[in-house]
Amino acid sequence: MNSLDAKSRLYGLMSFLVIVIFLAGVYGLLTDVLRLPNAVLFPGWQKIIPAFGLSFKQLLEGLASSMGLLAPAVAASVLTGVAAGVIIGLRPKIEAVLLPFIRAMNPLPSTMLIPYAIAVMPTFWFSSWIIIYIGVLWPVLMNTLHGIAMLEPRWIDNARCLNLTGRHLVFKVVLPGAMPQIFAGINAGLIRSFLLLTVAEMIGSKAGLGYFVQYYADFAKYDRVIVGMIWLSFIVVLIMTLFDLLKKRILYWTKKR
Amino acid sequence: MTDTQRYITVDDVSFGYEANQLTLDSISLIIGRGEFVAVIGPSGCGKSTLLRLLAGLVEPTRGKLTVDGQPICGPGLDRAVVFQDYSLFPWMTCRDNIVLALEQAKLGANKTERRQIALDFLSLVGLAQDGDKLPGQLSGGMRQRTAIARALAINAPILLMDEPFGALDEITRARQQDLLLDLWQGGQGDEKAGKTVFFVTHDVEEAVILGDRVMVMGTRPGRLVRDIQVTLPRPRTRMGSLQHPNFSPLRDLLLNELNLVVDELLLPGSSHGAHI
Ligand SMILES: Nc1ncnc2c1ncn2[C@@H]1O[C@H](COP(=O)(O)OP(=O)(O)O)[C@@H](O)[C@H]1O
Ligand SMILES: [Mg+2]
Repeated sequence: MNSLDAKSRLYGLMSFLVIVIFLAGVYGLLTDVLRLPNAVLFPGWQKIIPAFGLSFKQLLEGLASSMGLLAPAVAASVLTGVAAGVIIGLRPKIEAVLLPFIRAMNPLPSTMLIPYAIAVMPTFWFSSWIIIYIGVLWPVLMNTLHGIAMLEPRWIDNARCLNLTGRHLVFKVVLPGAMPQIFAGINAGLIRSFLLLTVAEMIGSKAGLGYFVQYYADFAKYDRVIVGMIWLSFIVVLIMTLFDLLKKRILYWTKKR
Repeated sequence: MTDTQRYITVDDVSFGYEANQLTLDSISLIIGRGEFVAVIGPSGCGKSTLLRLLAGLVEPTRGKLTVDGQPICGPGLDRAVVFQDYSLFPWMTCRDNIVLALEQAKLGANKTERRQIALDFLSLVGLAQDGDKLPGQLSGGMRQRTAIARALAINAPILLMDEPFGALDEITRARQQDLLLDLWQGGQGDEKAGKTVFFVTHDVEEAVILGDRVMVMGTRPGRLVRDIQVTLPRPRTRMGSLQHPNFSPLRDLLLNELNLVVDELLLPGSSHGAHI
């Protein structure tokens, strides 16, 4: 059972690598060999690979800087989003009042708030931080509310029959029961955080992966831009994979057999 | 009647889920301490609703329910509830489900002791090896045994069971009935351990095999139509009861009552095919 699982996962990884290598090959053929597309916009591997070597230190520093912004912002969104979700979600009357507001906020790009963020927050770092924080907060909050609203009535009946209240009710029933939906919210929030990173890093700061890509794009150095994008994608895939592993661990009980 | 004979009372209780709806219509019922009452009736007649009223999960629109002289206001750990196939939290192991219930009932001095009690009750229902499994990893029958183990572990004097074996296959159901008979009869005679059971089922044979009394409910609105004493000797086994000469007449009587109830719903003259 487990070995089969590992086997199929290995198979998936291998297929993925084959496809990546194939696509890289096609790209190399079009650019390095046939020189078909515009060489400035589509530099070949001959230019990209040296650019990677030249940028390596910058990429690592950029990664550290980006994670230093992303991790605290996402962590804060998740903590406050879930906490607020539980507090509001267990009070249907309050939820009914707040839900339209929360729904309205969710699709608004938090980047619109940049001028306000710069004016209100003490430093540029905090301005960037709050743009990501707000962007991630809504999907987490909305999904937590949704998860609580969708708790199976039988779990609630059970909790009531066992006289579960307060802290016990929240940590033994409400949170575990809503956890699949909460994870869906964090997933959506994470994806949004990567999109916001580029924009957030343009505020005052001179570091980060988003900044790296944007900086070289402004100078039309597309070999560096592509290096930055490949690196960023790699980091995103890595983070999402780790997130999936965490999800599997915490949602162990939803596993289908 | 003495007070022990009036352990649970339902006094002229009506209930509707919506304002001008009558789901249950003036139900009156008295259950003695240590009695095993089975309730049958066609689907949708309000059996679960009556059980939810007794559990305190819903409040009556009219009338009064009491346990041991005290009005029922809200759920309580004096009444252990076993629902059909969903009494456990799927994210906790079977043992942890029971440990949580023990914690709530303030039984066992510490975690270690509660875990031990949980294991003891799992052994009692033949699941000594399965405490660390999640409910989702067990068969329906094993899940229900775990739910029964939990209900027994918190040592509530009253068991409310809503079609606990309804989703099980025939053979498994037969075994669970014998197990329940064993466990329940084992406690009877002992003033403290003897439990009062309110058992909802849609299976006439199950009602006769288990119950001291069988209540027949009618539908639209939900009401009690008959209250029949089961004249089978205790202690019982499933097989022993099936073979007892009183069994068939009781079953036929109940089937007949149910047919009458169902017929009222159908067009006149279509007394056949009344299925429960
Ligand atoms: N939560 C609910 N809201 C509204 N109507 C309900 C609800 N639960 C049950 N009912 C209705 O009440 C009636 C009795 O239901 P129930 O007590 O579940 O019957 P039974 O258990 O005998 O099958 C049915 O007509 C059912 O549709
Ligand atoms: Mg029912």
